[in-house]
Amino acid sequence: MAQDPHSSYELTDSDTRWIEQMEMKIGRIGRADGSCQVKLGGNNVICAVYGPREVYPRHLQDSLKAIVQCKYNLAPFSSQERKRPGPDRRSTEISRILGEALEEVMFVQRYPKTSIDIYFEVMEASIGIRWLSLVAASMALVDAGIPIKELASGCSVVVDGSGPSIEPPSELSPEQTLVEVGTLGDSDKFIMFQVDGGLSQDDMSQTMDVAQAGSKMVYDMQKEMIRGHFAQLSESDEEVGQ
Amino acid sequence: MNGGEISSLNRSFLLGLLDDGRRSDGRTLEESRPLTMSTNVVSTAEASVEINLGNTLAIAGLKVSKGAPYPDRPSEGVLNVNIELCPMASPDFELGPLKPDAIELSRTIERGLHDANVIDLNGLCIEEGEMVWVVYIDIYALNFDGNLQDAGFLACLKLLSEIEGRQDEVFGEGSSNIIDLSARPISVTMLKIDEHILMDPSDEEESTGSARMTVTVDSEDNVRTVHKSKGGQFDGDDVIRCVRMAKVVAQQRRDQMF
Amino acid sequence: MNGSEDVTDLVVPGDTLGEEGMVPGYGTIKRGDDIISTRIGLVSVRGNTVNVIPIRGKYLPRRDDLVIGTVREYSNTNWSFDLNSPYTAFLHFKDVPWDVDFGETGEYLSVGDAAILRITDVDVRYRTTVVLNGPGLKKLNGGRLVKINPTMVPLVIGKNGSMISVLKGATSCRIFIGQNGVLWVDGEPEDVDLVLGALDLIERRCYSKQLNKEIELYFADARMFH
Repeated sequence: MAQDPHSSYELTDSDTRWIEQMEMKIGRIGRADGSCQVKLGGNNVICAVYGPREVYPRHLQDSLKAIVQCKYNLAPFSSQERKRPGPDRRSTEISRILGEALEEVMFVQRYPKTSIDIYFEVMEASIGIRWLSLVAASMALVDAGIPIKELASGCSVVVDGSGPSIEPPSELSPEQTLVEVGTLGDSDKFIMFQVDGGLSQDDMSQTMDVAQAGSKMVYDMQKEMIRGHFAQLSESDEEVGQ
Repeated sequence: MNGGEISSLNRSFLLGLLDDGRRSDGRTLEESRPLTMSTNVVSTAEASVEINLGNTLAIAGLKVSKGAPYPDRPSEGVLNVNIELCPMASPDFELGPLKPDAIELSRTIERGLHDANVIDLNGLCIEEGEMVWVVYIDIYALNFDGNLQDAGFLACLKLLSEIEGRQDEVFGEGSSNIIDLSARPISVTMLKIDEHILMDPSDEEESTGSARMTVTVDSEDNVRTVHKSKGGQFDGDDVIRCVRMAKVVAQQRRDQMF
Repeated sequence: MNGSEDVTDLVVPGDTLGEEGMVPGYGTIKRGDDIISTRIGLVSVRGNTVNVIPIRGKYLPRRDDLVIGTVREYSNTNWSFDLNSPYTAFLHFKDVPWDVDFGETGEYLSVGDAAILRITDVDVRYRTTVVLNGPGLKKLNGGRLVKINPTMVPLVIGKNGSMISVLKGATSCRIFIGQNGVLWVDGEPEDVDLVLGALDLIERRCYSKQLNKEIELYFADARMFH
């Protein structure tokens, strides 16, 4: 391992059972340079990457590096109440947060005057959609062959009176706090950190441990999934041939 | 292969193939691409479907809500079909000018559905002038390889057929006749390139061709709607050929869907 | 033939590579004492250096590469070419095998035309210059263009051109491959289809140590059913 995770938390059976359910499918969007769909619980997001490619509109071009353009969008049917199509403030904010996190893992200096365009379409949104989107993006970047320092992983933790848990409820109640993180692989570095609700100093420390442990499991699943996908691509001809 | 800027070499190659009765993906001129659909892909929609027509992929969801009717149609509910051309679906979409016209696509689909009387707008009325049911169908095109027209229409058809059997649940008791798919209308789109008519055009073909024709055929082989788009010209013979080809493909698709 | 044993060399970004004392090469970075892969690809060790040969990625222009480009637009004095890359290339109207006057550029090469070009210069910002005058360089007529993953080009060419010779020999097609992942193929439609099938096979079986054999088998099968 490149870096020992600093987490002292051991995932419970229910934490593990929850994360194990995560489904990832690489390459669904054939027109894009890279893509990945991720599903977990009430979350279903598709991320597609184009780039590096020419910047459009041209005036946004940076002669020294690639710009990262991130567009996160919720489909109208992604929530119980239909959402009007088009960007809203929350989507714009999430676009920015994800874009900043992903820029951390890329080598933008290598591709001056280009754009790396990352698109998210959320088919179904629930608690944890942000870190899952980050995971989908890191897989899509790999599929696109864009060099990255590390896979972006993540996890979410819900904290209330009974302690922290990785498996989220379908809706947050007022006494619950949601902590959602994006990590640089299985390291202790966070590239995304969002807290919705109140969190005491003690809780904060423990919650970060839980989040890191969860992220590490997600990271391992991502790696396995990538290897499996590319190995399977080379084998598919075998079945047909025999 | 990329759409949009097709090289002149590939354009000539494509035309040469057509003269031999072939297309670059190996199909004949009359053949449609494989169609697959899976439902219930999203739990937050009243009905949802993922549709693949060749490499064109879209996910569509149907949601209903209550709202005010249009002032000039106080006793009618609303069917609102919206096609979203997601920027991820094609390298050409973000650039703008080469994009298909989403509004035209949405309107043509709506018209095709109305002309086949699949939904009784009066049945959607809750309180005249005050409150009606609004049925929203949102079609998210996620991977574009041509013919969103048919992909979108068939997705709508599938969604409506999903709720046809449980209208009570969706619209409240006593609402069993609002949706009526007995006509089994099917949309079929063709493209003209020089003197050839191509069934179910791909993106590369759409970039090369001119006039497009969409025909909706019902289960009695009647033509319900005809829509010509994208400039170019069809003569009388072309129209007859189109309708003939459309009826064959409509039946194939119908057999698959119902 | 088991595919999985051939992919033990596949690495993903974040994987630690090599042994102590080795030097980070292409597709890798140093992080503390470790060498980390930044690409998805196959490990290749040369002496003391650990490299990762990517199996995915865009073409970045390199001086002296032979490429196939398509004209995007032109001015009175030059053409700009799409190279299947994030970067376009410029061809000056004097660097062609014809006597082109100022303003006549469009009569020789217009939008959509394709040509085999040589890259003569790439600056630090990837401003790329190409020429059309030189051995083997020409405007292309007939045939068709095919795009493959640019990282597969070395495989399609093969050691000393061995693979591309097999493709040409088995199909009687004229084939030219640009370093930028664009190929030009000219021949009978059935033969062109065979070439496309072979290219697809090469991309999918890029890890295989038996690739040459597999390609031979592919053509043998095709001949049987012809």
